[in-house]
Amino acid sequence: MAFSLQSRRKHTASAGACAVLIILISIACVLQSYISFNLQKSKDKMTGYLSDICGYRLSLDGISYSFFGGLHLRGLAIFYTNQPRASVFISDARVIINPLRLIFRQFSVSKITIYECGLLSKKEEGGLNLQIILSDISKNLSRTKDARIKLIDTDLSIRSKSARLDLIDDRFLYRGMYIVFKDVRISRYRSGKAAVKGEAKFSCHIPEGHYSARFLNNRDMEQGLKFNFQATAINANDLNIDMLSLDLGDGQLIGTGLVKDYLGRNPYNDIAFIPSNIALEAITFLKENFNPRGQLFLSLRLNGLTDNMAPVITAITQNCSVRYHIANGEIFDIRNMSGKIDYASGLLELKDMSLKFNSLPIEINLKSHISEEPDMIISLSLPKDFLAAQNLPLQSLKAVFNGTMIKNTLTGKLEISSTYIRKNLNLTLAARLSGVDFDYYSLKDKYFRAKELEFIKDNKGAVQKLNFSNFNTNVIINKDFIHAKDISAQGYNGALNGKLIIDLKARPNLQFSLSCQDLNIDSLMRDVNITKKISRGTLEGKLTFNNSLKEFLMGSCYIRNGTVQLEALSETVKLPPLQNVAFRIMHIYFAILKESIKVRGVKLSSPDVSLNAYWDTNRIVKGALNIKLKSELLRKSPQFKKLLDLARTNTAYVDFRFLMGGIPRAVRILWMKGEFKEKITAALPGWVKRSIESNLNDAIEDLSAQ
Amino acid sequence: MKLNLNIILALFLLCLNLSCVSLPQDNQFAQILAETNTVSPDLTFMRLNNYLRDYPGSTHEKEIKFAIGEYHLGAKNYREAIYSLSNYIKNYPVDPGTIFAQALLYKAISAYNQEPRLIAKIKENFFAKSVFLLFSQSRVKQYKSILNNTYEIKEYIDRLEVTKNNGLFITITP
Repeated sequence: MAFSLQSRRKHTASAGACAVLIILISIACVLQSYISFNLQKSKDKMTGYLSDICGYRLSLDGISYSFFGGLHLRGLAIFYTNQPRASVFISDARVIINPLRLIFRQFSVSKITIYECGLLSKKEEGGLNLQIILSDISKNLSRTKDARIKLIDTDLSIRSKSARLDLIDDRFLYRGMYIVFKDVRISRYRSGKAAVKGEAKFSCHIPEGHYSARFLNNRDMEQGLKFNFQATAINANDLNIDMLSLDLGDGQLIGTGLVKDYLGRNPYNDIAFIPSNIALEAITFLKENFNPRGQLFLSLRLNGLTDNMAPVITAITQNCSVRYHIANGEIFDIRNMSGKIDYASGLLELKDMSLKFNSLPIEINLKSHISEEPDMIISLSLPKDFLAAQNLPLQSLKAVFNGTMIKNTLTGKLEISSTYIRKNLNLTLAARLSGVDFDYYSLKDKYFRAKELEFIKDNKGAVQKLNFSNFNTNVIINKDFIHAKDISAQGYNGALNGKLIIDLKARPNLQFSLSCQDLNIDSLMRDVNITKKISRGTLEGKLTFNNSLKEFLMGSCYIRNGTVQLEALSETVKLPPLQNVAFRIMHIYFAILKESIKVRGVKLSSPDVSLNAYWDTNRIVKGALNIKLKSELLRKSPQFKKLLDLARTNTAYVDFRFLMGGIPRAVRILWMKGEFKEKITAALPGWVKRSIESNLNDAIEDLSAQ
Repeated sequence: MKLNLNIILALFLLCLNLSCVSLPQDNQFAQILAETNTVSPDLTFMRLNNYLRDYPGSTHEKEIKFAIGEYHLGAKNYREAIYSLSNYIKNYPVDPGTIFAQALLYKAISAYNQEPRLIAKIKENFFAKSVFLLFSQSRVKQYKSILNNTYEIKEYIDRLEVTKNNGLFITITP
């Protein structure tokens, strides 16, 4: 009996409690609905009021309230000045407010959750629009004195599940860029501390016509990272960045810094990151396009006003590699890349960068202003030890391009220079091309044109040169070779043709051949400055170079229908003057080895004189000279007339054969045995022979002194 | 007439007497030369040095200095040979004996310290002038020293041969 009474009482109590709860919940629901209804009804008034306070036009699609979820905002947009597109657009957000404080006319926000947000960043007068909006709103809110309600400063937590920031910036590299944020958590404390962390992905699309587009498999440049930002407000205006970490996955950058006047319209930022190792594979754009390997030791600094923050980057690469491959077989395989990269104020520099390009070792120095049409100075050279290993007597081989990238072509000037080492005699050789136009963009045959081509040889101040114009060739670059084919140029009323091949297979091999036809001798000799003794006539020649051969440079030339001055010869041997000797053909063939120069087959053919010689010259001279002189010409000299009579020579021509020795500066000549010499030697007394020799030697000494 | 004859006779006798006069230093020098083959080279060397000391600036200075260099080389005193021959070449750059002194110096340097730059310079001097060999295979120069050594330099097209007393002394190539 007692038991059933107790349980009846309990049952009644719980039923009562449920009833109260239900009533309370019902009241709450009704209240909630009432509040939501009123909020929605006075939405326009509210947005008008907030617009007045903030100083910016606001719009709101919907607002409601729940006791547990707080204020639910839908379609909140903030517009900068008279812009048609909202600078801030929040599609869905919940604002947790303290309802008890409302009773006391105090508005306090403890948490904001943004489900989806869109931000538009644009440079306006005085700074970035988003920063200006933040600055103005915070100032206006702090100045607002409304008796109806008071904004309470409290710890605030903001969470953004997904946000996208679009950059409206016409500057090169920033065009079309946007950043997607995920799960960003912002904590702001009354003590002045702030923390932000989340994930971000930078994206940029390289348009079709861009000068790099052809080399990219994926023209969408994306880079994801996790960031963690902790700061402390100091001096009421400045924000001290205690830590900013950027985690790329395979590499992390940690920095600190200062933001001066962080709530101002255009704060000044100075953030420096500790130099750190970043794997090249962590840079997504490189990974998707160039198969990179290796590490960068990277130092990054960001400083400047918010609307013009400039990165300063210094990176050191050590044994990095990238590999670029496109379907038609064009392969760039770059390995062992080591050197320094600097970027600041739009200027990119590669300093003393050494690498292997398709197995060819190269040293690169580059300076380029990164812009729509970047200008650049790029220097490529072969390392000294590589040249020595190829057994070439070259101290250096270097190409320097100074120009601009305009509409997928390189235009400017190119100079290729080399120093050839001989004992005590270094020669500087250079080829200068101006008005260069190189179609690097083309997939297969890349045309290479130059308005002017100048070959220069500088030998201890004596400059020799050749000038050509309208230089043309087509270049094919492959993994195994670089081929410049169908080389053509014009000059001296004639034409130049040739080809160049750099074979990059097992052992790099450079070959080129150039041939010329119908070059005018007068204008050519003026420029080439070898001798003034040859004039008139036309030149036809060929030059070949092959670094794998012992005779690595060989050349031959034919001069036809020209004139040569042989006064030196005629004065020396007391012949009648040999001026303006017309010849049908003169032929010279030479070869250059590591230690010497060989001249073979110097032939001159004219009615009165025919000459045939060969010699080697480096430290010593070795060679032979054969001259055939017309007897009729010899008889014009009184001395030779007597000798011919003495020797009873009746032939139309007299042969003279000589051996050459000594050194290049003081050649020694020996008259070899021959019919004429035998007869003269037998016929002349000893004292006459000695006198002739003595006079001849004196004449040669005088000639040498001249 | 008689007076003229007397004057002529007096002049004749004067000239005859003058021709017979010999200075004391020339006598001494002649004596040294005369005894070169009979006494030891060391004694000759000593006498020549004394002569130079006693008669500085004499007309035989050049020959004696050459002989001193020659002596040192023969005695394998290379350092002294290099010193004395270098001085000879410096003091008498265009003397007919200079080229022979250069040959001796080349020999001394080659035997002593093989100084490459000096050797190269000497070679450059030897081959500094062009030569035209018409009727013979070589051009010959000769020098006889006061120590009775005959040196011959034969210039060929590709080399230089130096003989001493008809024996090959050195061969120099460019």
